[in-house]
Amino acid sequence: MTLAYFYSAELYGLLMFFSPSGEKKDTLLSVEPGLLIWTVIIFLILLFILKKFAWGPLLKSLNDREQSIKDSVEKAEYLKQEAEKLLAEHRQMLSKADEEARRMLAEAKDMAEKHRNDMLAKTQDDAAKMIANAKAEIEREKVSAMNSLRDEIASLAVMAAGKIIEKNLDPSKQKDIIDSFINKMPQN
Amino acid sequence: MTMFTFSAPPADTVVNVPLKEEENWIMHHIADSKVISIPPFEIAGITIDLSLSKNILMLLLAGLIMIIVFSLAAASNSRRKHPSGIGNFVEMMMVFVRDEVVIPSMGPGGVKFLPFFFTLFFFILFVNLLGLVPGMSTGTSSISVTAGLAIITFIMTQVHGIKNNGFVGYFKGLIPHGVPVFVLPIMIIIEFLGLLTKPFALCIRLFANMTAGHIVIYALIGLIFMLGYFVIPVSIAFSLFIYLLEILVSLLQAYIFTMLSALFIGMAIHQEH
Repeated sequence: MTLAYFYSAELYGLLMFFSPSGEKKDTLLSVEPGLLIWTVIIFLILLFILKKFAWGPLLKSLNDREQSIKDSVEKAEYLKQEAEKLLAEHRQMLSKADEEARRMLAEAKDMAEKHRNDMLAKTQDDAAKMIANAKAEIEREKVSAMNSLRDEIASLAVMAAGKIIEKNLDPSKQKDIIDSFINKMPQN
Repeated sequence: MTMFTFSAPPADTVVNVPLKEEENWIMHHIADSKVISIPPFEIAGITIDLSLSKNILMLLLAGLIMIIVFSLAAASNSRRKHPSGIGNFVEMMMVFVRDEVVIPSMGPGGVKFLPFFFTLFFFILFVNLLGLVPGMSTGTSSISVTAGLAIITFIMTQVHGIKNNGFVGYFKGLIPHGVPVFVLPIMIIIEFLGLLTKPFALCIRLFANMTAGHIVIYALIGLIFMLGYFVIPVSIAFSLFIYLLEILVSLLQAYIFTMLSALFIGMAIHQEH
């Protein structure tokens, strides 16, 4: 019972600008100009004070920090790119150097091989030449020896014939003659 | 108490008990009461009573707390390179208002209005929250206070709309393009009413939201005296629930009021949207 009355009274009070008698009432929905003006004044003063002492510095520090973070991030990004570029460059250089070294090594190997082959060929050549020379020399010597031997034998035969003719000799004498002949022969 | 005198409700709802003024205690708790009286004066037929009342004290208190809190935050933030403590918290809220409320509603041009929206947001928030402190009253549960705030938004909207589009351009821009001539008279009336309903809606929304929770809490507590002590657990549990809900509502209403204000001002500045 009381509850029904209670709520109806509240709603009644809440929604009525004016009482049924027409007299103006202060209810929840009636605007009081005084309070309204106070609100506006307080808000404006607050806005002024806070703008000067709070929002200004706060926004400044906020913006500064955001700017510095943005700058830092951008700088970090730039540095990272730079580092990556450098790294790539280094890698390229390294691979180039590697390749160069490999190439030089191969070149050197080639050169050495060639040199060795040249040397070998030259040595073989030389040896062959020397052998040929020696052979030719020997041949020449042989021919000359044969010639001189032939001459010698001819003259010896002639001499021996002369001696045989000169005296008829016994075998001991013959031996003597040969010995003496041999002794008369040049030593070499 | 003296300002709330009701004539008795219709007889069919009133059973037995005649209404005594003292029984209308909910209204007493919600309504304003004078602290320091200043004699009212009259301008253009409106009686203006600048007496300091409970609600004005609450507004002043909220303002004072704001000045202290934000000055401390500013000092804390300019001292350090990285924010911490109160400066960090305030900055988080500021970034929220800037990035979630003002910039989406107004575009990048909203940055120069930031101090206004910060003040609006935190003022409403602090007044709302102050009303949840036992023994205090909620400034924003008075329609005069919310009307004051709505009028500030209204004036900001008109001033910046006119400033950016020119006086004629602004009022011309209110009417959408390509409207047939015969609809124009109606459109002009509708758009003009629209100008006024926007702040009116702002005012009523904040007022109603902040008042409703309090009325419900008072009513729930009132049940104890209406029905007897056995409802105490229920009353307390429900009151606590509503109370927690009101913390959410305080934040939400500050956010909505600020966002709609930003939207209205943004729309007045960029009328083509």
